[in-house]
Amino acid sequence: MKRFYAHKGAEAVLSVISVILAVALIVLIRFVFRNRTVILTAGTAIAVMGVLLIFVYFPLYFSSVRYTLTETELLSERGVIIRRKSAIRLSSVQSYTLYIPRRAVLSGLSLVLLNVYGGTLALPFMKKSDIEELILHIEAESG
Amino acid sequence: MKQKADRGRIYREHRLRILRYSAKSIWLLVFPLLRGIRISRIDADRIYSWIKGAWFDIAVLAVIILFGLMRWHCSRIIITDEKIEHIEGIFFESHRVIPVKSISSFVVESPFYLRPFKAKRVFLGTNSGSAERKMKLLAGETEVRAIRKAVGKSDEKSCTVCEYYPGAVLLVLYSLFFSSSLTGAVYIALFMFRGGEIARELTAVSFDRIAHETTKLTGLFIRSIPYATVLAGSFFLSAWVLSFIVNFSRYYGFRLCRKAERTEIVCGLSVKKKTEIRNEKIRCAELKQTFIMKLAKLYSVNLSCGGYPAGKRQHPVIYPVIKANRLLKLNSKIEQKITPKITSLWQYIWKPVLSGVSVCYLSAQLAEKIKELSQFTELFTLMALLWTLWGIIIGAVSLLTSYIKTDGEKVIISYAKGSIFSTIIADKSRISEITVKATLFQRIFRKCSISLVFNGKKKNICTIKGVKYRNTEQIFKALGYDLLLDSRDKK
Repeated sequence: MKRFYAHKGAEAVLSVISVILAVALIVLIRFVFRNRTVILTAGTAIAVMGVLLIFVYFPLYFSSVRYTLTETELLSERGVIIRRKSAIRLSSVQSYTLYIPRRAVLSGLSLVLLNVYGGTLALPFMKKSDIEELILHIEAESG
Repeated sequence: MKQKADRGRIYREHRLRILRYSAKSIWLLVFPLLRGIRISRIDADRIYSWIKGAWFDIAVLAVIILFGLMRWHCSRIIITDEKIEHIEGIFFESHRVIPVKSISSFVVESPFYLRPFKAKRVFLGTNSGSAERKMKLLAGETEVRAIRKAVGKSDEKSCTVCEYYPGAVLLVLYSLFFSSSLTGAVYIALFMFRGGEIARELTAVSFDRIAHETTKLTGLFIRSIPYATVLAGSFFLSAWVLSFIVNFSRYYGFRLCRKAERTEIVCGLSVKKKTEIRNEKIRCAELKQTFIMKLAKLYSVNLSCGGYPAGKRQHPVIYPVIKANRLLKLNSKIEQKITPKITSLWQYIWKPVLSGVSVCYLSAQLAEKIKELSQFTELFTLMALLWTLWGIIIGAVSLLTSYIKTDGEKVIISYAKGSIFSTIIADKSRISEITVKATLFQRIFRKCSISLVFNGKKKNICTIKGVKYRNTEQIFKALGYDLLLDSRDKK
């Protein structure tokens, strides 16, 4: 049995993206609205949400992401408010799609989609080496 | 272009893909630019003044095409004996991998507008997921041959088990039976939505002309038909004719060839399509009939298999129209069979009856309150009565012909959905779910509805209504499901 965890860099990348989006949103509100009170209230709300997201939600979410691989099965666990567990047999995988960023700085933002009988299992934020190991197992089991 | 790699041969998609990878807004720039260079003679001064005026548009167009070219260059197809992999993307690489063993269908489409460029659309399907993610490629002949070789290696020299050519007459019948104004209306709406302002104007002018001519013709035989009625009738008739033309063109030249391990289907006029299906991947067969086909003892045979058909509004047909006596009969030791009770007729006809009565009542109320609408309300009332009568006939036939039976390892369910009668033949193991529902009224009469669910391109729910509850136990045991009956219902 092998355990995979989320790429540590993914949390940092998402935090940076969240900061950029929050700043862009505040600047946009500043240009659209003239009322100082509206700008201050909206800006404060966005800033508070950003802080909660970066320092509370993201650490909890990324620490909850766990993939367990055995000879025949794969179990995916993740979620903060609603914890979701999904299990599939490796032999039921019909095809798969990998989304891997080219830039090393974004390498944590990968996504693996396993297409099985009856649905699709998504595995976000895996390391490249873990993805390669998972694919080897799938190909061995389905072959 | 192909290269050897350790993992297999690498191919590229057809160069026409560059246009697809370029932004859709390319066409917003191309047509104004082309208008700008409408010059009757080559004149350096005029060309210079055109470039001076349109340089920004030209630069944006060049960037868009360059982006498309980069995306095309980053797109590769890797074919090995074990898998087919499609890699694409500039900043985010996506690797779509299908193991050869998982491929259930391989479809090659050759539309008329791509034939001069020797480009074909290729679809590889699997039996995965409810959305059934397919691999879609635009490939040249070399790539198509390479994929076909990887997919169909094992069956190249096997013998043909059977061949089937329905002929033009049966294809016309199929198009007649399965064309509908609703499908035609969808095609017209798509054309208007995607074609822009020109398409909308063209459609509006065409309908107006059709309605005008129809009014002139009908005026010779039937007087005082409101123009709105003629327009609506013309629209529905035109939509039906369009649906008929599309269906006939889609299945023109239909030919089926069944081999030991796969089934090949070739059809199509404007878009020639060749489909290869792995027999072991077929989930179930479905025999479809309209009411008129039922009277004429004709069937249309569809099958459920991942990736077939490739298009959205197409039927998974293997025999468009076939006579009942040509279908193979299953060997028959019928183990269990249940049918709905005759006294369950109301469960099959309550919807058309109630909706017909409601429409008649509302039309009468409307006609009383607004005299100007009386012509329309008469029309609606007549349509509602016809619809109700049709619904009662279909409901009654459905009641008499619905059943579930088991035959060896097979389960056969015959039911009606809307005005289409279907019979599904599948292995018992293909049933993904069985549901038993009983409303309050059904429970009073100790009856229920049984639904068998087969997973496919979309969930296929087959329901028989009005079955006696005590009869269900045997069929569930035959299907390998234990059903615990409530002790009260056993009386």
